[in-house]
Amino acid sequence: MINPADPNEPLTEREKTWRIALQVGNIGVWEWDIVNNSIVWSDEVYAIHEIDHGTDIGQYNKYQEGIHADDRERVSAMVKRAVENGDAYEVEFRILTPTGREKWIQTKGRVIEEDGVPVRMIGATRDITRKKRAEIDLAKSEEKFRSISVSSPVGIFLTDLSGTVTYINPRVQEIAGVPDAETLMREWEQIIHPEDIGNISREWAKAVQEKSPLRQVIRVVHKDKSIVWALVRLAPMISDTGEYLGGTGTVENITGRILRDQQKDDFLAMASHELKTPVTSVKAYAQLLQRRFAKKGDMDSLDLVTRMDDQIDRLTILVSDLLDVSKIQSGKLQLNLSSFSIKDLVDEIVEQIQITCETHVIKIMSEQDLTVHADRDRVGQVLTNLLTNAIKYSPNAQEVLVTISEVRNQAKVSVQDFGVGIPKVKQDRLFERFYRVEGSYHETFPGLGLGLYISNEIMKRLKGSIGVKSDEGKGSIFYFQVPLDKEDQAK
Amino acid sequence: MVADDDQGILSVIKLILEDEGYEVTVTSNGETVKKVTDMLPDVLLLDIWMSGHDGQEICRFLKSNEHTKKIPIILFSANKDTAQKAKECGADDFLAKPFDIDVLLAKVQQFI
Repeated sequence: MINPADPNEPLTEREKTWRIALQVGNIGVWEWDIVNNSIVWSDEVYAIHEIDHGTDIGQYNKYQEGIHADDRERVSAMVKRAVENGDAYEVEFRILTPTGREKWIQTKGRVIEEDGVPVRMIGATRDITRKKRAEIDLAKSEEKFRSISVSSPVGIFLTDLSGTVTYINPRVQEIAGVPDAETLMREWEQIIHPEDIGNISREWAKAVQEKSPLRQVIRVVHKDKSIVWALVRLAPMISDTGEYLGGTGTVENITGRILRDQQKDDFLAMASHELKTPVTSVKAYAQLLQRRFAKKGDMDSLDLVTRMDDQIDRLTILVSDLLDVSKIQSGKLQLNLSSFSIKDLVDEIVEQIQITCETHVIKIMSEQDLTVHADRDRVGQVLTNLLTNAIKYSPNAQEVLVTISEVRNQAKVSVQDFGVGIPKVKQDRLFERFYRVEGSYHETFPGLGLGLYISNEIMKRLKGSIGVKSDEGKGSIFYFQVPLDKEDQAK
Repeated sequence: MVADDDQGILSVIKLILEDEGYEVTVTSNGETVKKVTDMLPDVLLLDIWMSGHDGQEICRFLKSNEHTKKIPIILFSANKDTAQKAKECGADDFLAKPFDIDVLLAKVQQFI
């Protein structure tokens, strides 16, 4: 019988190697003489228990006192069963050091029998405190995630590297009306409205491939055949070391919001149509008065009526915008395409606006003439919108600069103002419906917030683009691009 | 002759044209076709939408009728795509609402 703790016992070379190996691996070795109920420890076991080397461990019962109260019964049962069966056991439990510190150890022991009777047990012990603490923290964190996920008012899901959905929380099932999670994760594409599936599949594949975010509104056909509008967002998960781990996303039921917007649209269509009629009359009367006063030579009255006419024009634009929005929403915005000179159009519009603007000088900075292929009235509408905005949002400036240039196969028109500028955070939302920029001290600028939305939609339809470069306090450059006429492109 | 549902618009256009020396008859609702056929005006200003009656239909009808097809028709509308609609039903010209008096007069003038 080898006593692992006696340094004076002679060892063979191989035994010396083993002993070093045990030291290197921080594995403590012990032996329990079952018959005499005495325990012997190696140096390492003393070190793990933080007890002075050579202290007499004595009996098994005494050993038990070092075990955490909550774990004693469990450990005891395992040992007992091993002894009874004559085989081995493995157990993880807590011990308390003499200073009261808690540590986790793992012990494996094997019973040695002689003539069928258990006489001793030999085993190994390791300190697994660090590993155990990590396991516990992980379990806690998973528990936290699970409880957040289960009670979240928003649908949450996870995807793997290939974009397959690997987890959904109960809210996603609720929104989709599919009770079985497995089925929903596998076959979610099947419950998407046929008109939306093409879009979402394509954008999803793109987001997975490019590891980029996704934001889509889709319709889900609910189990009871009703349509649910959902906002789906997917964001890439990147580890601390920059590794792509898959995706995390949310699903929100926005049916309420969509229905309310639809109601707004229906109302807009009706209202703007009703409004145009009296506006038409008023404008006609104003112009009639202008002609009569002019004929009579009554210049004072003529001036008054002229100012009235300007206001009517403003009113007309507001009403037109309302009607345009409802057309855009119902897909009924029609375009009349033709080839025309962008320079001529810019000259025309600038002149028109300059006539009624006394506060700013609109300067055309370049003479480049390009032929474009687009809807002349609508492009004029967009330019008018950008110019009136430039003037409106720079009340303390004197100039607005307009530039025409060529970018790839498109003509680019830029409108620069020297006003308040727009913070980066708001730049993305400028082109949304019903969005208005606030001035400093929460002043709001007059208007309905529809102009840029309409301009954006028009540019989209013309296969052009619209955008903004702006620095707060310095001003903004709004620009749009339209395709050149095919003949001009070849140049 | 001016055909429109809205009394406000009818009266102001009447005033404008009479100021320039034209003789004007106004009509609305279902009477348009009958009045045009009876009176054979030199020019017809026709609103594209009158309650229950489609201006484009009326235009097409008048243009296909032996009796009335020579009468120049100016189609009148609040929509931006009036030009398109005018072409579709055979009108001779179009006018967008709200309109400029000068533009209105010029268009009428061309047919007199």
